[in-house]
Amino acid sequence: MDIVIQTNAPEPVYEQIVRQIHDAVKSGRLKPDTPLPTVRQLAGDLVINRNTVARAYRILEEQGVILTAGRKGTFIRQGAVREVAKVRTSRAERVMRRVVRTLLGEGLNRKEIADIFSTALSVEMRKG
Amino acid sequence: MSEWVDIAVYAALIVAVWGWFPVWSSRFTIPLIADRNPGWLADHPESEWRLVESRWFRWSCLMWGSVSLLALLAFQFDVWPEQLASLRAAPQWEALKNLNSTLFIAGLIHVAACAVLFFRWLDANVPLSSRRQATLERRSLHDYVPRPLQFVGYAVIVVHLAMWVVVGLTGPYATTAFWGAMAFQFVISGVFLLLVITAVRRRPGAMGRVVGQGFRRTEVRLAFAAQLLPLPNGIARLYEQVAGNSSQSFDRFMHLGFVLLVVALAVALARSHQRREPWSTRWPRSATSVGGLTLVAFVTMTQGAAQALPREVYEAGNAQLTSETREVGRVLALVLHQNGVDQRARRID
Repeated sequence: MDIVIQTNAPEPVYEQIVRQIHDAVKSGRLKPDTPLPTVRQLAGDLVINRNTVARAYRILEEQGVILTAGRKGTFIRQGAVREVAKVRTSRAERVMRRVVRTLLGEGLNRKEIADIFSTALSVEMRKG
Repeated sequence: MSEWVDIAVYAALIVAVWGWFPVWSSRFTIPLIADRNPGWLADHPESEWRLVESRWFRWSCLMWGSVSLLALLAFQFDVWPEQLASLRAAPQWEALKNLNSTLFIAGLIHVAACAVLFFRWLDANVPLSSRRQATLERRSLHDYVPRPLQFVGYAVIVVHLAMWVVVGLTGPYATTAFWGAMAFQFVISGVFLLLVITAVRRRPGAMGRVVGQGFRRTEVRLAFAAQLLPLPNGIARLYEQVAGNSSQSFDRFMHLGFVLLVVALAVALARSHQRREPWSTRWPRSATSVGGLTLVAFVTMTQGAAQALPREVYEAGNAQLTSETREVGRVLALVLHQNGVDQRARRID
């Protein structure tokens, strides 16, 4: 399974790594107990600073997606799928709260916001 | 055994390394650039054309091969300048071996210099691509060499090195020459171990992309097996130190055998490349393998040349051994650089 990064993208490289590992875990391409490459290997292969990969791994470890077991290396954690889902839900909640706060600030009421959300969701779902 | 057998073996090596290797490796130029920045080639078709059409590297290697062959023949036919008559002090087969090794090393330095120039040009002219790709599969030696085989291989190497230490500490052989020879065995084992580590760790590059997943497996297994190559020589040297006599015919057969092994491997690689890839006229199967083989040949020849010196020279020659070891390191670094072990290089797998 491959990971692709874009160094000139607005999204920081470490976030690209985190996001792609999340995707792989969610889709089942990375199963629990699967070993991940070492920081040195991944940084070398992507020709990026080791600290960038280390930062991505640290975030994933804090989220409970991966487990670093000393010299044995880094592995996908049991229950990583659940943790990824949790992370995504909480991120979505954060985004949603920010939007709702903005809309409330614009003077919209609960019903108007719910209607806007419902319409936007229908449009986006139709787009596929 | 006639010295013509030696000449024939060296001629085969010259054809394989100076005739075939440059043609093979120069086909690798474009994939290397594509590996670094695929878009650059599309934007600079004139540079691609110029690189593809460039023949100077092939011709220079071919010329060096011709010079090497002519020098060996001139020596054999005794058409040899008086100024270089010191070579005649050794037996004919040994002088041929030393002459061939010297010419071979000089040729390798030329190849290394060309590689450095090419990578400098690459760094200066081809910007790194912003899109990069890597595998999320961990690489380790266990993926390529079964653990029992690793255990046996390393056990044999450790026993060999331990034999040197034990003999040195317990026997009456602890001369400067003995310790020098022992240090050389340790260094050469270290160099081969480094080769294995590099084969496992190196960033996937053009070779992997062109040849496929099996490339690294072959490369690592070859590097692992190469670790055992210094053993027969080391054991012969140990015997020589202990028994106090020189096993010259053994040296000669071992050296010729090794050169033939290198030639056979090179031919096998070329044939397998042609068999698997009908489009191989443009894309080579591997530059790393050739680099590895050339390095192995270089190391062994250097070792052989150092140890085939007359005994008194050999005993006084630890400094020379050290400098040759440094030379091995330098060439190894260049080969590694050529194979993409450089932080500034980039891969698009």
